[in-house]
Amino acid sequence: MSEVATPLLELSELSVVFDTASGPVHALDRVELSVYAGRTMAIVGESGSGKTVTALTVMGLHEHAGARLTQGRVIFQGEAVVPGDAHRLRALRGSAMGMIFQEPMTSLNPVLTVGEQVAEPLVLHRGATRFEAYERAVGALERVQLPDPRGMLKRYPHQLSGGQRQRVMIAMALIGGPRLLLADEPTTALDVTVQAQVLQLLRRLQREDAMAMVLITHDFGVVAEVADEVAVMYAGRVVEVGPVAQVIASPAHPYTQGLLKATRLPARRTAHTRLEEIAGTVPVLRAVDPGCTFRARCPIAQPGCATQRPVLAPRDAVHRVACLLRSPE
Amino acid sequence: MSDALLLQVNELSVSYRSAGRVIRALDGVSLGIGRGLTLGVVGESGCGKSTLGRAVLRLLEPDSGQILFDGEDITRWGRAALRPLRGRMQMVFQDPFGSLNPRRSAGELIAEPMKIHGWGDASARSKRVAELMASVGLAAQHANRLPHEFSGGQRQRIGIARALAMQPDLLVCDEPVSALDVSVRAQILNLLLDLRRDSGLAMLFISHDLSVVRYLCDEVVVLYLGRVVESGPAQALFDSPRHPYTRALIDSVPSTERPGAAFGDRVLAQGDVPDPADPPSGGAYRTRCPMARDICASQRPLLRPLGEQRVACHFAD
Repeated sequence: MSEVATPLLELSELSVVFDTASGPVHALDRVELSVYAGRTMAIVGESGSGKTVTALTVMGLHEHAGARLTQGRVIFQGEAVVPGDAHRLRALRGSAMGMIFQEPMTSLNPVLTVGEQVAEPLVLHRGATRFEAYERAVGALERVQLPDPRGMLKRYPHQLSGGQRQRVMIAMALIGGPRLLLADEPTTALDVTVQAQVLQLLRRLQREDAMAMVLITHDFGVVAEVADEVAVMYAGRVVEVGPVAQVIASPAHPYTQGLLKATRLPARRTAHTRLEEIAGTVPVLRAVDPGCTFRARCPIAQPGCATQRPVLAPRDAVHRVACLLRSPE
Repeated sequence: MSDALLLQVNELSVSYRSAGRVIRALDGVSLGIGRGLTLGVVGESGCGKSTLGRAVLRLLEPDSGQILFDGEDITRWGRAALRPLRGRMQMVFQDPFGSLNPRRSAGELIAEPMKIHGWGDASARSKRVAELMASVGLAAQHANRLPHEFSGGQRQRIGIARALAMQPDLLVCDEPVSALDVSVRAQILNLLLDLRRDSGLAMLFISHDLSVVRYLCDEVVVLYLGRVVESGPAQALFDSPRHPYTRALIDSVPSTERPGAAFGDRVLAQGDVPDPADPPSGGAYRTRCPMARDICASQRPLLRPLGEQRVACHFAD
């Protein structure tokens, strides 16, 4: 299906730079990604991989984070939105694009009640009456399975648990009826039991509304539970992309392989087991690397990896990998 | 038998006062660690696991109960009496530099415990710093660098080297790999295992990450709102958890085993952890437990032996 359908969201050759006191840092280097309606695309990577910058750039918020687009564009529903008009993007962010972040406490206003935060935007931007807006807010809080939604409207963020706050954020993100939901580490700050509940909820809502969801996470377990497709990022590049089950069963990029091995700790340890390590750390890219950014840590690197930039090449119709040694000839 | 334990905690209770409310962070917790063994402490935020680590190191005053280290009851020891003991029980934090001076070099930070304990002269200490750095996989020539010049994983190595300076018998590790990327996590877990093998270190390993505890620990204690709900050998506890909370914790861990499952077939805990200042009556987990009945509210389940474990649940079998 995905070969013929038009993507809802398309990132094409996206490059983003942070200008720091000690010179530019290349956060994204020609990132390409297609996200389809009704599907969940996970972006997985470790610190410094560029996954959060990718989400910010999609929403046109990269400049607020001090980043600068140097190349490429974001196409949403057939319309080039980045680079694009700031007013248009702001309108989209409240309607067709919804977003949730890791720390609901920093995204919610501490001095406003839940009701004011969920309902007021409908009055201000949608011309709803107060009565309509509050009724819709009750419905939205019910949908995210918050107990006593009417009572919840009168409460302040600090009176809620972390899980309840994240549910309020999800209700706010969904109330405009978005076609795309961007979720940046939405459960990282939550306890594991609550994380499971919130992931289950996100999965159900995404299916019910046939939304596209972009789920950003550092945890391959989270990817496996809820996503349809996964893009693995390393040092500002997408190194592998494909259906989740396929990437997990037969990862092609040495980094994906290492990441999966490091994630899946053996259930039993014998006296001599050692975990496989990925030696070293993610590089800070002061210049665009002419070769593969993973080569310094890669167990199979060859001299050619220093000079030739690997591009995403198909292994089959749906699975692509950026590795000189693992792409088909 | 109990004489052989390096650390023994009996019926330990600790409470905090916060904004006029009393929070019972630990409520009658008992556990023991044998020499060279690793005990994992798991549970969610507010379960008391960090309080337990600090209480064991006598960094806070318990309300009641006993802490025995190497056979001696240290529960009420004063500062002076504790000082020689401090070197033998050390702590590794999640962020080792959250509480350390950012203007001190790595070498100075590692040498600090030796200085405090009056160990050796400057040249003996700097020799020992070099040995310690090598033993945790750091290049000794980086001793003059400042903390911010190291990566997260390297900083954790410095934190471990510092904790090892006085050759402790017990390491209390509070979420030591939680802030690290998974590829770096493997490096630190390997290091901890090497140290345990080479020097017979015992560890109290506090973590919210069940897969790490399963991999690393010999014994496990599961805490919920300050109480032990289940304990036992790691393998038995993870293979056949008896308490519904232990089961929910294990089932909540996102897994790569069944892509697309979305926790579909698993029994999850309902709702959130209750307010620790106002815990439910009886069995505290009952408000989230799918199998709770009336007796769970009226009667507090006591820990009882079941298979290889001990479990506090009226219905566990």
